[in-house]
Amino acid sequence: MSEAATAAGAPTRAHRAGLFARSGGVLTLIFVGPFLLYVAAFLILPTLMLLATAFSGAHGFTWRYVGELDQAQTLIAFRNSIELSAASALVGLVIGALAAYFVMRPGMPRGLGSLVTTFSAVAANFAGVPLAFAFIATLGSLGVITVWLKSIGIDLYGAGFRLYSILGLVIVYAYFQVPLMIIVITPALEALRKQWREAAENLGASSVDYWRYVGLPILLPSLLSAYILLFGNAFSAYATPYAISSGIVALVPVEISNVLSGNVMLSPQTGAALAFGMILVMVAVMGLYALIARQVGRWARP
Amino acid sequence: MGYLEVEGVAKSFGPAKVLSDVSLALEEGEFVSLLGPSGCGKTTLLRIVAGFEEPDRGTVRLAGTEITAEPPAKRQMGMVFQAYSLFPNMTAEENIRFGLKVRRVDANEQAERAQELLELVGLMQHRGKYPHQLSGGQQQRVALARALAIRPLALLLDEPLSALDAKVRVQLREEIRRIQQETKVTTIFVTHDQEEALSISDRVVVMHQGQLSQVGTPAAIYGEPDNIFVARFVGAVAELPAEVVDGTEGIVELFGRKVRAARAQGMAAGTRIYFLLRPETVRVGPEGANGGLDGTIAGRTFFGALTSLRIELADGHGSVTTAMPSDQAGELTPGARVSVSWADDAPRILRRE
Repeated sequence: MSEAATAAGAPTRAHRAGLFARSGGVLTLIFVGPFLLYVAAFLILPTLMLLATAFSGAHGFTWRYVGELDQAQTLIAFRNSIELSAASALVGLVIGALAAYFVMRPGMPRGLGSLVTTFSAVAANFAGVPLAFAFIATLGSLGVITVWLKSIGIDLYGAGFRLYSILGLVIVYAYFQVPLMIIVITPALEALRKQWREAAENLGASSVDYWRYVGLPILLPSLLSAYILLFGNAFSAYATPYAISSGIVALVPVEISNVLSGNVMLSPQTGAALAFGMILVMVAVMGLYALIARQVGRWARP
Repeated sequence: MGYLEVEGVAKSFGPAKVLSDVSLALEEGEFVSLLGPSGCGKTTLLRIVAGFEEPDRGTVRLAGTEITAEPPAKRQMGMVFQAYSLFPNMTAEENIRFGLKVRRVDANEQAERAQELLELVGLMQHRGKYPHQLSGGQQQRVALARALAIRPLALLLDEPLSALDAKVRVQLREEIRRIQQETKVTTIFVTHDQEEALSISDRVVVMHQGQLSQVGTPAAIYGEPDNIFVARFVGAVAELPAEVVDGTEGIVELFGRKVRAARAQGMAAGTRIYFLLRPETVRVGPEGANGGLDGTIAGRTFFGALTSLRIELADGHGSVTTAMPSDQAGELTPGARVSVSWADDAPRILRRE
């Protein structure tokens, strides 16, 4: 009888669950769909077009432009970009992680944490021409700090320092890399439980033991992710190095700009091939990251 | 002199006084529970013993040596926290070996000790699992083994069962007691759960507002509360206001009638008292039965083997609760008029200020 009643129209629990799941599916589509469309339109499609351009010549498919990536000037640009990104990411990682840790330590003045977070949120996005100008005005050859240091006997430029060098750019990049690191590592530091530290202390561990065996191994996956983010952030930076060095330091984004704007030559295919090279570098870095992360984060896998 | 002693300890956090002049001594091998409501200072007292908090005043001594200023790492005490204290990047076995590793104990000895403890807590087959692959109960057993691995002079348990579900709590508390008896380690167990404290302790310390309210065996704490806070906090109790009429004979006046109360003997006539009845001492009979207080059943709660009845006394004299075997509670339903009585030596008597 109950089966008949059900068949006559009373919805079963399974039926209702099915309806709910379907309405949930529609809601998911409404909210996630536009995002997927956006990704498709502005990430996947341009990437495909870029690949198509990089491998297209006047007579169809060609290896020519990708093959030209091994030219000396291009290799220097890639080496500079990778060195600058790796160094500035390392500087950001170390200084940012230490700054975030010390800001969060018990006993720090109230409000310091939110002050640093707010400043970091602003500074991490303060890049490009304004940042370049700020550094030229302070650490340029006639910058206020350079002049002041010279007045007290420290001649930066006499000692070989140049703002438009890799070292100079690392210092400039630190301005947005360190705050970005503070923002991304703070949640991971907050997730370090007080009980872990107390349990370690209680079992006889020194502070060094705690960080060596517990704190750093737990943080390592987050530190690796943060490093990749900082590397990518520096690797793709264009306006800041261009404004500072005016192309003196060869970097891949600047080279792409040169070939697209016609400063040196006009060759969209060369630009696309350089961008393809950047993608390969990022894929290699992320592949390496995935391998390392798999090893250091094995304890977190189900 | 005790094996583990706390003497005159006081602690404040800003304007909040958390502990006031607390003194307590544990014998070697004793299992003592600190019991009290949230904010009574029991965890602070434990953390002072562990070395995680510094007392404003007072001393802590262990095996005759003052350790008040010693850091936690130097105290040779094992501690089990509420939950989530296992190192997530280490397996169960690595967690247990951690204390030995940082003490630079030989690797073979570490392995032997870890195996011994894994067997003690029954987790040998889970030795290679990470904490998130273990249940809450298993995690706490690993935490217990880890605390015992360093052969602690004292074991400190800070509400180790509070995050577990009811059935696992009961199993684990019995296991903690078994292990403590096997290892004979002096233990302080912090809990707000009276059943836990009463069921596994040699002695229970009831704390209230930063002070020790009563220290005694579980039976004494439940059966002979020193003050109204302990009577109310440990177990259910009906508090009926009364007055001693004849201290020689042990007669008190309760709601205008004179009743015998053995524990009122020796008290001066005219002393205002609380006449306290535990549920298991209350007998229920037909309305008007000889000498009982009449009332109406106002509530009935089934607990499986036992059924609890709340009886509103006539003339607004308050209520009493009784607990009886469920198979005897058949006709006693809400609304039924009954009479409650008790044995002469059943009521506990406390002075009423």
